Amino acid sequence: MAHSLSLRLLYLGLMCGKGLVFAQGSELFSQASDANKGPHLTGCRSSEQVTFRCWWSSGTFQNLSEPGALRIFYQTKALSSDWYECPDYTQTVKNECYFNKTFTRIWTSYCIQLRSVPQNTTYDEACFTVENIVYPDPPVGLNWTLLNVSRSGLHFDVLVRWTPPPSADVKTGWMSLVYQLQYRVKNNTYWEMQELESGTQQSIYGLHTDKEYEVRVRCKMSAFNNFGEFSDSVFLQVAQIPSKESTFPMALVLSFILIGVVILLIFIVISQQQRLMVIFLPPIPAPKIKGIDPELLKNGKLDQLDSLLSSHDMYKPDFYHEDPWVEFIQLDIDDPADKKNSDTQHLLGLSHSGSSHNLNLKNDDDSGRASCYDPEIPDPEDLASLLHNHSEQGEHQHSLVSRSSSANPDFQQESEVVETPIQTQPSWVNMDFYAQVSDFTPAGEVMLSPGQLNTSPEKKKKEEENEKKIQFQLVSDGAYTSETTARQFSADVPSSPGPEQEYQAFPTQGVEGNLWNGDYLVSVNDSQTPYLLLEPPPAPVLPPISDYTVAEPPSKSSFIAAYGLSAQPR
Amino acid sequence: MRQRISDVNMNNVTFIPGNRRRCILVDQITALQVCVVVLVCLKKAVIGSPVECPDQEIGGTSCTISAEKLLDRAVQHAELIYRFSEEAKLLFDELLDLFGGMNQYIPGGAVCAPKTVPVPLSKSEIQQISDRWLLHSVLILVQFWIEPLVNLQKSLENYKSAPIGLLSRNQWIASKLSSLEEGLLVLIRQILGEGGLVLGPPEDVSDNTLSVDAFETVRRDYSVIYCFRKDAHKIQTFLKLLKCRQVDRENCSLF
Repeated sequence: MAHSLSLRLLYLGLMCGKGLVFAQGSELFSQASDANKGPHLTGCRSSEQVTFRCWWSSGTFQNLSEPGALRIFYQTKALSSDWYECPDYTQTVKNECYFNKTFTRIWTSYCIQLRSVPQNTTYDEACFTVENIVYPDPPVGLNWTLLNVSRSGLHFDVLVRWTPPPSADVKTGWMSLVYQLQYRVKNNTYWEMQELESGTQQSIYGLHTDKEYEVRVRCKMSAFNNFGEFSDSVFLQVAQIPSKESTFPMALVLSFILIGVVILLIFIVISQQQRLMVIFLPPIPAPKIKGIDPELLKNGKLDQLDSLLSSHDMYKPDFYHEDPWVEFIQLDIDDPADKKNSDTQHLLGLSHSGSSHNLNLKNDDDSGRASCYDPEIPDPEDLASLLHNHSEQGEHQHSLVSRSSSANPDFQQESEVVETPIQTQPSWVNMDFYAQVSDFTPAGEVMLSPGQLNTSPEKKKKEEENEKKIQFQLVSDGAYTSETTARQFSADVPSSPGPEQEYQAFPTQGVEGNLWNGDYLVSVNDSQTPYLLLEPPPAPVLPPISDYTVAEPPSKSSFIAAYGLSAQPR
Repeated sequence: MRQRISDVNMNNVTFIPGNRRRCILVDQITALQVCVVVLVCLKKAVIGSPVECPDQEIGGTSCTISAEKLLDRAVQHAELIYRFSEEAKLLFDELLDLFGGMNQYIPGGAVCAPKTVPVPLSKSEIQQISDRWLLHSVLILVQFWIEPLVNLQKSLENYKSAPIGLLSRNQWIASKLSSLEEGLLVLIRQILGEGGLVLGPPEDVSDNTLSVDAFETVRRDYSVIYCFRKDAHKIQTFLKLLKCRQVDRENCSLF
């Protein structure tokens, strides 16, 4: 049934309705332009719910504009169903019909017709009940009082009061009015609206001083929609209170004090600069050796350093008793190589002769500890003489360079071993006091090398080697090296099989060191094809042993392992 | 500009203009929930029950609620009832607008059923009648409208798209009318010192037969709301006049 009901309603709605022109409030009378219409009712209003008036216009029909041409008839159910003519046409106002209180019944519907009697035509009709056309008169007696001013003097609050319109009987309760207050900054176009107020006063908060405001009020019957006219506006303004004189010197005094404090602080900072620097920026402790002045180390002469360091407790000779790796390097004095032995003896003798210079070398097993921890720095003059005497071994005496050679590996090893203690002396000349970490083996062990003083050949080799290392890095970033790059590598290599190279880590077997040590690869390239770059070299290639040998377990070399290792970061 | 009750605070009723129809309906629902809850609580606070005099006989005059308080409560009831009826009527208007406008359904003037007891309708006449007459007129009106509103509620429930606000308001009005009737009876007893003029069951002026014609049904329902709204305003005005008279007879009797 509901569904059919809605459908019927829709259908009926589309039809022409039963034309009762009715609307309430403002919709009662059409407000379309009067110019194009004929005679019509322009409005009916009541101001106090006791009487009401109706107005009409003749519109475009000029011939009906004279008084009496159009007449008002009304019908109200309260009296009868007959149509009665307007009881009072207002004399002073044109086209107005006034219904006094005897003809006015509230809560009763009225129907008003605008007729032209001679022509017996009805031009317009309107039906309403009186309470629906009540537009109250505006409130009167608008005034305002200042509530307070903000402490900053920028804002203020006011209380606005008014009285109800005199025509509306609010006192007896005949009409209940609600009011609406509006205000704006003068000459502004936008009115601020307050909420409806049933009392006769309202506060406005947060107005700005030094601005002129305009306030107005209007009212309507409660629960109805018809606002009356606005009351006369009232203007209000509050002058901005100037800043008190007492605050001014206060601000001045405060600013002076602040400036004085700032100046004092600056003065303190400047005068105590050093101490403050120490407090706030403590110096980073430089690396120190206990008992040794770092300045002396930097600038002092060698003999002074000598005396210092020899007297230092740290470098007692028994320090190295527990050092295990030194035992790897054993000086085998029983070797039948006489030449070498003679050399060894000679060197050893020299070494003893150098004891006056506090050289503390031992000709026993511990002589192999030609390490960076060797505290003695030989006298440069003595060492130079040593160098001179052993010029035939000078190639590899300048540094801890190890050579690759195809000679007898054992012999080479021994010779290298033999030479290492000898080499330490001259090499000491060119060494810094501290050792350097040169490289990391793939196994993670650290390779140490003596730092180099300014000697050009070593420097050159260093650069060379760095270059090669860089080149190798290019290679090792990828899994494979192309043939061309390998050839490049091989081309870069000096043809001699024994390039002097500073430090390498060569396991006795295995490929690991070979792989990532570009020097090695470069060195063996001439004897191998490029494709063998990543392959283990043949065993007879002798890995020269440097002073700083890293002992690592030999591992089975395979291409895959090599490939994996080559990808390791260095 | 249409206005709604948003907050049922007796002393500070605020109106919020409803701008959009559809939004109004949703707002109505939520607002009504709040309103109903508040009103239910208010009913307890404001009206309570005028016959709930503790440990007293119902007809006894030893009830301690003063006539002024009872009148206050009655006036507040009437105000609220009127506002809710106004809103219900507007909701119905919107419902009808969806179907082509309310002009077709507005009772021309004669549809509002005449009351069994004629009530004066001009201010001068009203101010001439006695308090007794005023009270009785109000009571008659209230008693008259209880049943039509109940019937209207039943009819509205059959509507397919009746807004819930309309239904709930109507229901609320019906319930509050009953309580207002009780209060008026007590008032009459107190002020006039006589038993309430309880009318018999009101003559069934309205056509209660369920009309199959949808148009007539809608027209009848709308006329109920329309006419009731008018009478609710009348009730409110009468009670206010009566209240003023009770408080200050000399000033309130001017006409």
